[in-house]
This record gives sequence, structure tokens and C-alpha cells, in this order.
Amino acid sequence: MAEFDPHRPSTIDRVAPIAAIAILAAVPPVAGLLGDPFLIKVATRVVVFAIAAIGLNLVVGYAGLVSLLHAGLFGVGGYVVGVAAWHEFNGEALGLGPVAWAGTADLAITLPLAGLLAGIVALVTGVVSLRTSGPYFLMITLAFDQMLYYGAVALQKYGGEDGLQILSTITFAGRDVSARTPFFYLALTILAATVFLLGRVVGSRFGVVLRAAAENERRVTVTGIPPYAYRLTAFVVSGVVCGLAGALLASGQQFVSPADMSWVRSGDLVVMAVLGGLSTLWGPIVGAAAFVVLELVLSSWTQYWQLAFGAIIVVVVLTLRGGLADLVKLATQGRDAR
Amino acid sequence: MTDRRLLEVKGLVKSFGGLKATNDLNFDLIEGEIHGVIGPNGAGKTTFVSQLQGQLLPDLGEILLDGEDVTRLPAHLRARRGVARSFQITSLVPSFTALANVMLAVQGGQGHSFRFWKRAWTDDALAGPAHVALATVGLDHKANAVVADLGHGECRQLELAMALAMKPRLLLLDEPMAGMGRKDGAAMTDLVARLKGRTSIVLIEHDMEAVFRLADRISVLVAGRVIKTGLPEEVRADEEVRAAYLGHSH
Ligand SMILES: Nc1ncnc2c1ncn2[C@@H]1O[C@H](COP(=O)(O)OP(=O)(O)OP(=O)(O)O)[C@@H](O)[C@H]1O
Ligand SMILES: [Mg+2]
Repeated sequence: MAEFDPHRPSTIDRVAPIAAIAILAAVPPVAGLLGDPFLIKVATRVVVFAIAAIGLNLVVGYAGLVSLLHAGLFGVGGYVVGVAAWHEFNGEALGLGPVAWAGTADLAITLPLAGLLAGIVALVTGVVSLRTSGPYFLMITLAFDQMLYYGAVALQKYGGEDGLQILSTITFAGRDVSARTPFFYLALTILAATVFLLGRVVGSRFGVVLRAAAENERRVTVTGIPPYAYRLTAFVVSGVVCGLAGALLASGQQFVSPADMSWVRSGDLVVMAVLGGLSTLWGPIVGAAAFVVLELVLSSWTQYWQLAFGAIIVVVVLTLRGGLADLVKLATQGRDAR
Repeated sequence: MTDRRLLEVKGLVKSFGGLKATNDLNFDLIEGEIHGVIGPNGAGKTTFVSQLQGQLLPDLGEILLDGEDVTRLPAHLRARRGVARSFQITSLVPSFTALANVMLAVQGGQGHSFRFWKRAWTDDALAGPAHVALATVGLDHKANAVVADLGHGECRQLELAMALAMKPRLLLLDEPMAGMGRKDGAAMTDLVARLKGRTSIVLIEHDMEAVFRLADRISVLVAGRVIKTGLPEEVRADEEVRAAYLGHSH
């Protein structure tokens, strides 16, 4: 009984994320066979942006709120890793009021911290921006993103506009994860955990409220549920996830800079989510993969790659309402998918 | 029927710019009754209901529910106190199935929804009562249909099912038969008749036949003000009401 929700994941929705993670997991051995370690770098980038796009999609796809703040939250996570590593490397304690912290390059500490700090920033900004909707929400989140961006530029001690190099060896619980392959699998594990946990969230009562409120806020209110608190929670969760992704990007490229926090980068994250498909949890993984690979391939062909990229986005959005995820569904289900 | 007043409205005023859509409105509802509200187009019926439900806040006056002042209480908290509404213009979650819509209403009646783990769509605590509500309005056979695939009459039924799923103490029905064909309209009238005694109802309706059949008492709303409240026979016989309203529409 009771299996009637239109959002109940279909077989594809259950299998696709597992398949995507399995395919990604196969990249390092395949790269080894091909003698092309660069593939692992690309796959790491895909995984990191997939985490961010999935986190963002909770707000954009499920709650129906297009945010331009999330590159900022992503950057907050990156700076947590960068600053902690800087203090560790330079042997200079970070004074936090009465306590002094030596800093660390251990992700077992900095990842949770990155998530926490990004979550707090999301909470503070969300409290204000979620009082608005539509274009106003877009503008306010953009403004907050600019504030975070210039906040990072103002961190003169940590490289200011030039960004911050991470010179320590990145570890996880004491183990060296700075090499390509172990780092990739660490990131992939976090992606898998994100997909699993958010998969439960979007199918829960909480997830139902988010989706219903995106379509008909008034209806949700008259049933006795105030959407604001639920949206705020989703906003914070998505901030935490983006913070983790940003921490991973910074660790992987051993560099973090304000450039990653500009609102244009927020736009990129939105594009990944839309390109992949907003209505599924796994769509953003496809979107992130498509984005990263297209960016790489097209930019190696021409410096005007963004022109071609834009054209591809237009075609996808116009032809596939559910993004690239729809294409996967069509290919696996045959003609009667829709 | 006891004479306990479930709802009391005193001196309610609501202006839109220069227009007083609600103008010193007084109203009361006895527990268990169906109180019909009739009035010409633009009389302020929907505006009145919106203030009872909390979507609009009045400029002046007070609304007492169970003797407690709820005039400024947010809509979702009134819903928690058992105020449910069906909208004149259908207001559903379009991409959800009929069942999922009603499950949402059940969910609203079961306290907060900060539950992140258990799957909602396999939760019998939601689906069970939702099926009951759908069956009550005669829509259980369409449980799996997405709202977009439902007919107008079926959407009206679904609206009512959602309101009923909240186990309301006070049901606000804003023209539940609006835009329905003869057959569906009659079915809806029968349905509301069956609800009598199970809950208290404010029934706004243009279909005079239906109102006079269903209502225990009727209030006539003209230009934002109740000009007459009484038993159906009294209202039908009232000269002022005839002049202001019934005369024009019949
Ligand atoms: N949000 C609003 N802003 C401005 N004017 C409004 C608003 N809502 C209603 N009105 C006006 O208030 C008056 C009362 O409207 P209301 O919808 O309450 O009437 P009604 O009795 O429900 O009419 P109907 O029988 O057509 O449903 C109308 O003149 C309407 O134009
Ligand atoms: Mg009306």
C-alpha cells in the first residue's frame, strides 16, 4: 500500500546514482591501464562539483529557490582547509579569542569544520534571504556572495586576491591522502555518503514539504506547515554540503582563491544542476560531469569555448525538461519513458 | 446542538487601498452548524474567509476561536487549531498525485515535519488517513492520478479531501460547487450534507438551492457587511435581502 507518490524514485532513480559512483570508482584503474593519470584529476573535479551541485540542488531543484550564494559557501569550506593548513605549515598559532590553535592539514578535522562554518554562514544569510523569493532572492544571495568574495579578497594575510597556496601534506586521520588516487577515493566516498543521506532526506516528510512549498506555498501553509523553517533548514544543509565540496577542491588542487567564490561560479553550480536535471538527486552528478568535461574539451579547441558551451546548454534546456538525466532515462527505458 | 460559539467575529475591517472589502463585519458560528454565507459577486466573501483562515490579516476587529483571540495568529497555527479551508480557485500541488496531496494535509495535521529519515510515501500513518479522506469524497479510485490529469470537479473534491484530512473543527468552504456540472454539484451537495454534525462549516456558495438546503443559518454579506443573519426561511422572506441580493440574481 501507499506507494503512490509521483516523486517515488523509479528503478532508474535508484540505480543511476549507484551506477554513476561505480563508473567513477573505475576511473583510477582505467587511468592506470591507459597510462593517463590526468584522468584521475578530471574525475576528482567531477566528484567535487557533483557534491556541490547535489547540495545546491536541494535548494534549487527541490525547494525551487535559485541561489547565487553557493560558490561563496563553497569558498568558505576551501578557506577553512587553506587557513588551517597555513597555520600548521608556518608554525604560527591561530588566535581565536582566548584559545590559540596550531592549525592542521588533517581533513578529519578540517572537513567537519568546513561544513560547520559554511553551515553557519548559510544560516545567517538564509535567515535574511529566505524572507524574499524569486528575483529578490536571487539578488540578495548574489549580494551575500559578493560580500563573501570581497571578504576573502580582504584576507591579506592569506594571500588576498592572489589566493592561498596549501603547502602542507594533506592527511586524513593521520594518513597521507595527498596522492591522486587516495584523495580521489576519499572524495568519492563523501559523494556516495551525500547521495545516500540526501536521498533519504528528499524522500522524507521534510522533503515532501520542500517540494510542495516550491509548487504551492499557500497550500502548505493552510495545512499547518510554515515553509520558511523548512527552507532555512534545506538552505543550511545545502551550505554544509557545498562547504565540504569546497574543502575538497581546495585540498585537491592545494590552492584556494577568491576567484572560486565569485557569483559567476555560483552560476556555474546552478548550470550543473539544471544541465543534469533538477528533479532527481543524481541529475547533478551527470550535470557536473558534463560541465567539467565539456569545459575541458571545448576550451582545448577554442578560446571562445563558452560560446559553444552556452549553445549546448540552450539546446539541453529546450529539448530535455529534466536535463541530461532525461536523456539517460530515455536511453535506458526506450521510447515510452515520458 | 448546543449553543456554544465556536467562532465569533466582531467589527472586522479590511481595506484594499480605498476599497473596504470587509466593513464592520459581525458574525458567529455555533459549534456543529453549517452557516451559509451568500452575497453578490465582490461582496467580500473570499476576503472574509481569508481573514478567518489567516492568509489575510484584518485592519480592525477581532476573531475569536473557542473564545480565544486568533485575530493575528499566523495561518499555519490556525490550521493546527483545526481551521481548514478549501479554496474558491483550486489550490493544489500540481505535480503530486491526488493521494500525495492528501498525504501532505495529513502530515500537516500530525505536528512538525522535521523528519528526515523515514520515507514519506511508504508511511501508513500518512497514507491510511489519506485514503479514508479520498474515499469520503468519492475520489479513492483516482488516488494515483496526478493533479494535472484530474478534471475540474475532481480537483474540487480533492480540495475538500485535503481539508477533511486535517480533521478540522472549523471547515471553511469557499464555493465548493463553483464551476461544477449539475451532477458533480449535486454530489458535492450530498457530501457536504453528510459532513453536517461531524464538523462546523462556514459555507460560501452561489448556488441558492444548495445553500438553502444545507445551511442551518444563513448570513447575507453585502459590500463587506453582514446585513442579515437568520434561519433559511427568515432570510428568504426578508425584504432587505430580496432588494439587495436575491431580487437581482433570480
Ligand atoms: N488582494 C486584493 N487586492 C485588492 N482588492 C481586492 C483583493 N482581494 C479582493 N479585492 C476586492 O475586494 C472585493 C471583495 O472581493 P472578494 O473576492 O472577497 O469577493 P467575493 O464575495 O468572494 O466575490 P466572488 O463572489 O466573485 O467570489 C472585490 O471588489 C475585490 O475586487
Ligand atoms: Mg469569492
